[in-house]
Amino acid sequence: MDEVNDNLSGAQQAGGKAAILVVEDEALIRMVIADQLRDSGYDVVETRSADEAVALMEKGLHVDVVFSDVNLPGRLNGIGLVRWLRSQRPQIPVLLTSGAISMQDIPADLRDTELLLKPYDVDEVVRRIGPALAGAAASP
Amino acid sequence: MQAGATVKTVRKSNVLARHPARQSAMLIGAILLVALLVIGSLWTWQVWKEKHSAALERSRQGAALVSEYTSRVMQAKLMLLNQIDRVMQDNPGIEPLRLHQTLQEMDAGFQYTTSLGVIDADGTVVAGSRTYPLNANFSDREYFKILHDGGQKLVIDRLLLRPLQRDTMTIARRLPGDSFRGVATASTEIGKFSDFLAKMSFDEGSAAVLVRTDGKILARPDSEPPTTMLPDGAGMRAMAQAAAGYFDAPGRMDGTVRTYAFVRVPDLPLFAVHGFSQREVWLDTWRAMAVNFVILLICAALAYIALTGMLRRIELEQVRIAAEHDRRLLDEARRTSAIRETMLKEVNHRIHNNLQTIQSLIRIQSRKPIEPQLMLQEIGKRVWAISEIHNLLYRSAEYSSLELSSFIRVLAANPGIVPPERGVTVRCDLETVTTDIRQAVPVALIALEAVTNALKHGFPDGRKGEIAISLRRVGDAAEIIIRDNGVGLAGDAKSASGTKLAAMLAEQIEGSFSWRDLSRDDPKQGGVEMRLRFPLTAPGMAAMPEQDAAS
Repeated sequence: MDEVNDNLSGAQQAGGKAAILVVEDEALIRMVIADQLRDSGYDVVETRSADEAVALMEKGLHVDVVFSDVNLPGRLNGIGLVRWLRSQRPQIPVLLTSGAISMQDIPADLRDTELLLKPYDVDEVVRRIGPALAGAAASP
Repeated sequence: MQAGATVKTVRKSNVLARHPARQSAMLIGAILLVALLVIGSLWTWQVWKEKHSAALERSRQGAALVSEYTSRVMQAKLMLLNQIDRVMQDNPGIEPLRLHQTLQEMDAGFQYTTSLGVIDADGTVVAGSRTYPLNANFSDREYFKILHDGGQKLVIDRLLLRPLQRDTMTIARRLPGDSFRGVATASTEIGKFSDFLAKMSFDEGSAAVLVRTDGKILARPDSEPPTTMLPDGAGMRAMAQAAAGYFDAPGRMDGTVRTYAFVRVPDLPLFAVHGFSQREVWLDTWRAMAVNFVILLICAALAYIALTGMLRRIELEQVRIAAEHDRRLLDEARRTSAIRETMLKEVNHRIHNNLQTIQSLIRIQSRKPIEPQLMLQEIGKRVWAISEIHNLLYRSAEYSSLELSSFIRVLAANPGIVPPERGVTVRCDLETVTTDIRQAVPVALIALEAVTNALKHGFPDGRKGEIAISLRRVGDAAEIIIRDNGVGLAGDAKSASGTKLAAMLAEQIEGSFSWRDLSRDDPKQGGVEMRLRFPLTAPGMAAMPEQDAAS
């Protein structure tokens, strides 16, 4: 839980930059994508599970976009995280990534969620974050 | 036509092969049929034997009765002849009329007598009991000739009496005296014998006859003229050898094959013969066996129904067991297929993730201020480690776990990682530790980093030494210790990017990772020890989206 509090305080201190929550259990992948997003001017919060991400948001972490893997350890996986966000934080756009599934494997009611298949180019993630943020800002 | 027959046969055999119950039923039917035939034959033979024995006994008794009857009748005749002899002795030169009257009186006293007569030495009839005067000469009669010639004293023959033309059984005997004085005869209507013989032919096809020792059949159940037995027939041969016995022969009149019993009539040149028809015995046997065969057929049919029913039940049970076995195999195949499909998905997942990891490694390396060639070498080693994990994974039975010791052995033996020319030997002390696919790549990369760091920093300037790698299981965790006897940690070695990478990977698998400079504890020994301990998770799959959605 200390890790959650550390992440929370770190993001809140960031100020006016858009906050991206990266949920990925593979350390190297998570580190590289997080570094790339930071280099692109975003505030980044890293978690290795969806459970941890939910705990952070429930504690008040401000998040503008969630970038999450589908296969995650713990009670919730990426799909579960999307469902939680749809019900609790519907304004937050989600960008899912997976090396295991395709769009057909995602439940029908969640297929409007954006999916990026592994292996992806980290620059592609940065390119997709911008439109996601713009869409979130335009929504009521 | 022949080809058509072959096709038909092949089809039939195919049908039988496809229907073992039908084949078994046919086999049972054939066995029962053979059993029926064997039992029926044995039973028939037994019944025939009993009936044949009974018929034989009846014929023996019949022959005995015929003999008894004939003997009594003939003894009466002999008594009359004795009386005639006494009359002729007591009254030499008796008047023919007187003799006729005497004979008439004697004839009247006996029931079966037809005629008595006296013939003189010339064959002239002296007197008869029924006719007087009888002017006749019987010197041409066979019996007269035999008695006149002295061959025999007594002759029995079948004769037509003259002048009445009555068919008789006649017994003729020489009158007493040293020289031939004539013949006395006593005749009985043949009907007296044939009626009796007819009564004795009580069974269908049986026959009783009186046969003279020379084979002439004197009396039969009918009034047919006498016949003669075949001189070399079975009957003549048997009667020539014994006073009583049996023989098989066809009837002289009707050709019916009979078994005859014969017995010699006491003191007379006669055989009493009684025979039964063999065909009738067989017919009688078949009549008796008809019911038995019906019973046997019913028993065989019931046995057939019971056995084929039992076989059918057994076959149905076998079919059910086979179907159950097939169903289990199918279920097993489906389960295996599902497991393999899941495994394949997981392997694909790991491939995609590891490709992403490789891309991340490249990105990390590209940020380091090192020569491009060295950078590519380091990336190449890491890619090799990941690919080797996949190689081992594909060789494993389940595609979801692998032996860490196998990877470490390959790592230690790889000249690209540990060049032989460096003079650093790698000693391995490895227990068998199976790890989950998700842990295998981070552990492999950490081990690679430790060995690479030891070679890179521990043995500068061509220094030779040893790297010891141990792998053991500690409760539910695994521990890898990589220790070298080099110069120890160089100044910034602990903060090198490889070390940071190893620490991050250790965190990913929830393990503890540490470096220790052994030269601080023992400057003489020196070296560095890397220790990684991580919990072993059960091999399995990551949660699939469907599972989560369902939950």
